[in-house]
Order: sequence, then C-alpha cells, then structure tokens
Amino acid sequence: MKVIIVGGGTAGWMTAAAIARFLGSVVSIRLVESAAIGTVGVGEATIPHMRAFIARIGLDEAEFMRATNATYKLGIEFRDFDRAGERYMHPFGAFGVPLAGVSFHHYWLRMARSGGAASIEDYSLPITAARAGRFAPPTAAGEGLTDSWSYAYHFDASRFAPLLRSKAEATGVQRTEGRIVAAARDPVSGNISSVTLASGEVIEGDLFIDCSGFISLLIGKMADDNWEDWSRWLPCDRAAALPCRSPEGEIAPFTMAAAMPAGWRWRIPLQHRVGNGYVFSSAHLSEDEACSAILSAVEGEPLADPRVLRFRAGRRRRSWIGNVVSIGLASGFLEPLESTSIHLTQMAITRLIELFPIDRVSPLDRDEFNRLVDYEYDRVRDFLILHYHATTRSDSAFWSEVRTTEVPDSLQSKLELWRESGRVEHYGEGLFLEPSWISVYLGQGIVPAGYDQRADHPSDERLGRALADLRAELARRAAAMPSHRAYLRSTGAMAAA
Amino acid sequence: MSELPRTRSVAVAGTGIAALAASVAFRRALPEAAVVLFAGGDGALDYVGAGGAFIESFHRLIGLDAELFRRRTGAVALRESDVGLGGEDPFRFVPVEHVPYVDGAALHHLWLRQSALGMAPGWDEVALRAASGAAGGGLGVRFDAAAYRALLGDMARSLSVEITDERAEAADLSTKFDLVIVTEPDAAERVALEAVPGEIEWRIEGAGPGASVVERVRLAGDEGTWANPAWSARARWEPERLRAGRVMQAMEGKLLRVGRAAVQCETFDGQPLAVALGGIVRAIELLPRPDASGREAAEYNRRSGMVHDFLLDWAFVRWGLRGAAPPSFTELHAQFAQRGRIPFRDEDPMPPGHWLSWFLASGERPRHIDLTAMAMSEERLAAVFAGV
Repeated sequence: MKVIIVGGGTAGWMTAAAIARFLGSVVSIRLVESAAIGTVGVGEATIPHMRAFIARIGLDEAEFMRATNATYKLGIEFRDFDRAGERYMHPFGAFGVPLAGVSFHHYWLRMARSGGAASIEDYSLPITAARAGRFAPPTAAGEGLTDSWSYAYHFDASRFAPLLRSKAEATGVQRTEGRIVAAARDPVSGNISSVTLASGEVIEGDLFIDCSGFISLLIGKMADDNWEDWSRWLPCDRAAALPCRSPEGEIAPFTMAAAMPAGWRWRIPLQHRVGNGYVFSSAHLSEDEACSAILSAVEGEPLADPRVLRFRAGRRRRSWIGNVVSIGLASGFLEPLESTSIHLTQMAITRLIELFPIDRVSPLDRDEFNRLVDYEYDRVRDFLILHYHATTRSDSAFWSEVRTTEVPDSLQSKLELWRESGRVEHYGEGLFLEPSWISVYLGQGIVPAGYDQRADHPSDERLGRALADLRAELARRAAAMPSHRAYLRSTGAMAAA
Repeated sequence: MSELPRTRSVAVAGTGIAALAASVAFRRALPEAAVVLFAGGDGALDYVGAGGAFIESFHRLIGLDAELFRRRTGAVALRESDVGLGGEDPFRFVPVEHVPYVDGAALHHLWLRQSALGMAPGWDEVALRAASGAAGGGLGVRFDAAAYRALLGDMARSLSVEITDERAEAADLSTKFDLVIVTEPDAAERVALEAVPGEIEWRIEGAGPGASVVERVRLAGDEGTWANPAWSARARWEPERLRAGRVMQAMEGKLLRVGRAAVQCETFDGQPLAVALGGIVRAIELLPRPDASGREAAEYNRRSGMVHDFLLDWAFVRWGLRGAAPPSFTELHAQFAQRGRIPFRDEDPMPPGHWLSWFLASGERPRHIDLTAMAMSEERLAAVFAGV
C-alpha cells in the first residue's frame, strides 16, 4: 500500500514517524511538503499523553528535550478567569488521596463548608511543586501520593518536526519537496488517485493523509458541508503569537493562561525563550490591538514581531472520507486553552494505526475512526467551554457574552451533577477525568451545594488532623524535589547553550 | 453552615445474596444509618454460587477477608471453562483481562498470523499464559451459595443490620425509610431481550470438592448442565416464559433496584452476581441525599443502563445464539468480525479480553489480520510464541 502524507509540519511528521514505526515494513510512506509554505508551529504546550507517544515511536525523552529545548510541565495556571486577581492551577494529578473509597475532594468540600480546610491546591503535589519551581517525575511505587500524578512538556514546535523527520527518514519515509497544485479523483469511487506537484510530477497513492493544516488541501475537496462550527461557544478566532527572551531565574514548570479583555493569553517557558500569545475574538478586538496588547503584556524582551494566526473553532463532521484521512489542523481546531492540539493529532494517529486499511479502505473502519475522533473532540470542547461559562467577569463585552451563552446539553448535565452533589460525571475513556474537572469547577468558583454523604463520618477533629497531615506531607515532598532547572541538567535534557 | 440531610434509614427487601450483600455494604458505607433487611416472601434463592471477578473487589469494600470467604464457602477461583452450546463441539474458554500487545501489535493478531502458517499453539494456551501473568481477572469464583448467604447473614448481624422475616412491599417501606432497596423483579417498565430466557430452574446435583475437576457448561434445547469444582447443577427453562431484560430506571426516587430487580439473565459464569454487586457499589458512590433533585439518580441510571445492556449482550453470546441480536452486540461483533477489534465500551462489565477470547475460542475468526502484526519479522514472531 502506498501512503501519501500531505504536509510536513508537526502533524505530518508525527504521522510519518508513527506509521513508519509500526507499519514501515508493510507500507510505503511518502511525505510531500513545501519549504515555501510555512507551518503554524503553535502547540508548544502538551498534556501528559505526549509522553506515551514519544516512547511509542522510540524517541528518548532526554534526546527529545535537548533537541526541542523542552521543559517539564506539571499543569496550567489560570489567572483572572473567574474574576480579576484570582488564579488557580489545573494540575496533572489528583487532589489528595481517596479515604475509605471516597474521593478526597468530598472531604475537602465538607471541611471547606465550615472553613476548616486550606485551599484545595495545598493538597496537590504537582501544584505545590509547580508553585515552588520544583520538579521530579512520579515514581511507580504504587503508593497514592507518589504515583497519582503525571507531567507533560513545553517544547519548541519548530524544532520538533525536524527531529521527527530525521527519525522517519531513517526508517524509510521518503520526503518529496514540492507544492501540490492538483488532485485527481477516481470518477467511480471518488477517491483521490494522485496529486500533482507544481513541478509536474504526479504522485499516486492508495491512502492520502491530509496534514496540510487549515488549508485542508485534500479533505476540503472531498465533501461539502463537512464542517461543524463551534464558534458560538468558542468565539476566539485569532491568535497573536510572540516569543520573548527568558527572564532570569527559575523556569516555571507550568503553562500560564491569563484572561484578557477579548480572550486570553498564554505563556509557555522553554529552555531558551518564552512563547507568548493572545487568543482573541476578532469580533471584539482588531489584530493591531491584539498585537499591541501582547507586546505590552510579555515580561521579557520580544524576539520577533507578533504573528497573527487565524482559525475557527470546530471539527470536520467526517475526518476520514473515501481514501483521505485528515489529521491535525486539517481535521479540526480547538484553541490551545488546555494544550490539546498535539494530543488531538496524536490521538488521530493512534486511531488510524489501529484501524489502518488492510488492502483497501473499509467503510466500517472509516466510520469507527470518525466516531472515535468525534468523541474526543466533543469531550475537549465541553471542557474548554466550561472555562468561559464558569466566570463572574462582566468587565468586557467578550466576557459578558461568553458567560451567558447557552452551553451544550452534554456540558449542562455535567454542571448540574456537580452543582448539586460535587460529583463528576463518570466516563472511562476520554481526555479529562475527575481531577481536571474538579480543578476548573472549584478554580472558577462553582462550589457544589452538597458532597458525598459518606464523607460525613469522620469527626471534624479527626478529619481536620488528616487534612493537615496530608498538606504537610505534600509540602515536605515538594520541598525535597530539585529545582526544575537542576532536574533538567541532571537528566541530560538541557540543550547546549 | 447548616448540616446537610443524610440517609438515616435503609430498607432492603429480598432473600438472596444480593439483598444480604446490599445490607452489609450500605451498613458499612453509612454507619449512622439503620439498615433493616426484610427477608420474608418467596424471593429468588441463589441456587448456584458463582461470582465474576468483581466479587473480590466487593469483598474488599465490605471488609470480608478473602481467606474467610474461601474457608466458609469452599470458594474456588477459575481461569478457564469448557463450554458446549447447542450440541456443537465444546471449546475451552480462557479469558484474558485486557487485549495484550507485543511491540505495538495485538497478541491475537500475531497469533492469527502464526496460526495461518500452522505454527501457533492454541489460543487457549496463549491466553492462559497471558492471563497467568496478570493479577486478578479470570472467571471469578464458584462457591457454596447457601454457605455464602450464611456468611453474609453473619456479617449483617454483626454489623447490627436488623433482619426480619416480615413480608414488606416497597411502597409501604418508602413511607418509613429514606432508601428502599429491592432485589426481586417488580412491575417496573422493562426492556426485554427476546432471544434469551430469563428464568432458569436449577437443581443442584453435586456439591463440594470433586463435583467436577474443571468447569463445564453444556446447553442444548431447553436444558443444560453447569459443573465446576464447587458444585454441579442441572438447569431447565421454558423458552416462552419470562425473557431476559432490564428495567428502564434502576433508581427512582427512594427506590433502588439491584440484582434481578434491575437486570435478569443468566450467563453461566457468575457475571449477573458481579453486576449486582457492582450496582450496589455504584449506588453507594452516587447515593443522593434525601432532599436531592434526581440528578444523581439520572447519572446512576445512565451508567447502569449501559452496564445492563452490555451484560445482556454477554448473555446473548453465552447462550450461543444467532440472529435477533441486541444492537449493541451487533456493533461490537461487527468490529471483531471485520478486523478482530474489541472496541472500548464505557461501563461494559465484561473486560475486552473476555469478548476477544470468547470469539476466538468459539471458532470465530476476523476477516483480516492487522497490518501491525504483519509488520513483525518472522524471527520476532516465532520468539513471541516460543515456549507456549
């Protein structure tokens, strides 16, 4: 089978490297890209699932980190989302440990009602470590406090694709430089049979993977009305990106997202610079105003002029049509508020390998791929909307609008369950599980009316003592960790200056 | 801040294991609540003692020591079963918990490739080796049901559960208790699975060690046998009598239906009891306070509905039936038939490896072998199965 990957950014080379790793001996892989076409190059912040992908394609973590100037990430700090001056962190790990089979947060909710509990963040090891600028990986000891959390990376996306390319080419992926100017379709099946380059070269294939980004070179031609628009819930449609010099001192092991009058801005600390960007709604702010705002907001010396990216929130109704599979930005886009862009790409690659055509495309496999991709996008969408919905901000037209927009039914039911009982709707597969929802619910001021009645049993004194002991133990463990920079050096992950 | 209302009283109606288990579990979970077990009436007796692997988790939750359970009930853990359905040749069913992977390829696809060359051991041998390396799982336990009831009864009494042989109707109980648990089918609206009998008459024919060396299940016509190291039993059913099925709402207001009251089917492997115990645990996790609006009940019913549907899927396949399959089973089976894939199903009480091993053991083969398996070198492939 001849596999043609169109586009060579992060999505294209991730796809190539992964297919080469698992199917390289039974399919031929050719990637077509044009150096003249730039890549978006965002997605510098990730979530912990990235670790599994790095390992599966055979990349050594330290090598990956050195090559991409990567840093470790323990969570995302949100500033000013509920109201100006407030902040909270979404950690990559659980709050506390379950007691007698009951999730820790129910005990915390009980004590918080009577003012007997510290901030819930004090009961999270990744948050405590992140705030102190410290880092160490979890151990696999099987004891709740040491293995109930995880970590991810910040990395320079512009350096990731070349690293993947070198790996992929070493395992047989053929790269072709060229700009695609036409695609031929089989008149009977409607499948793409070949693409033609500006040079006149015709490249035939059996399966085409569209990683061409927003331009959607192939998938965009396969069907009309194939876009599900989510801008009514997620109105941001621009980002003004700006790198700046790293400040002196410790490298923060977390991403920062701060609410702004017409959206929010990110801060992603790498080894050699800091990535910044203002994600905004063009209906509420002009591109020039956004560029000025991000220039004013960054803490270090700007290393370039702001670059504006345009997008729209939503996904393809069908990511796989005929013999064209779209992956990455060609498949859909959700703003990087929870650093999910790379994950959604990675998830699609994993599903594609799982459902890879055997001799020809099976409608059953294709439909299952589309179902799984939709499922993941929809779950992430609801989680992102929560950040805009759960706010008391009314200081700008943007926040007044997003706060009052009706949310999807799937999110509404989650909110009702939480508000009444402090329970998080359960699902076994999906990106954001209980700790993630708890952090945003509480961080953005949604305190439930109730909690699990099993948490009523310990006496106030006994429970108060248990919480105090836990808090002290977490603080002790965080203090014992090395600084983020020291850990990077100790593992050989720090790039040469 | 004012105290939130709590569940102060729980009534459990029923005579079987599910009722006793619910009494003990709720007593443990709500130590300040009075729990009364109304054990009167003609409730279903648990003739056969069989529980899927979840029973071990349940015992940990209620504080029942594994060794005490084994000693009192003669419980035997099983990893395999010999199954004959509809008079066809029997097969050896060895479930695995998860679908194992080797170098990115699913083990069963590697096995299918190697089998096509006539160079692989039987899937049962491969599964047995994969299962033996994993903790827990398997087919669960078989035990003396009467002894288990006695053990749970002792636990209930030691925990101050009030046990009465007074007959009680759920409607009457709901005026006096904050929560009423029923374990026998009532008049609630049900979804029936037409193809599967819902009511079995059991006759125990042998008990204790030596009843059977291995587990053996035979079903044909309107009768069957089920024998294992703990007991042997004969089953009869009337095809036109009650069909398998589930209630639409397992939790309604103060009323909670678990066990046969919520879903009724037989799978000849203890899964109905495991699902009943799982329902008790889920109800405790989501237990609404007495003034709740019903949102937690809705969540309980959403999740339980999936569990019960998937149990009925399992019952369908365990009876070896063809045609008129539940839609959820048809979707699952289509994925396997196409390319040997077991899709993840949220709340499926059956681990993916059970479905996989069942299909393979019963002789089904997918139309295609995954390319990930074809990509493995022959030397590496041979090494995977060396020594099995």
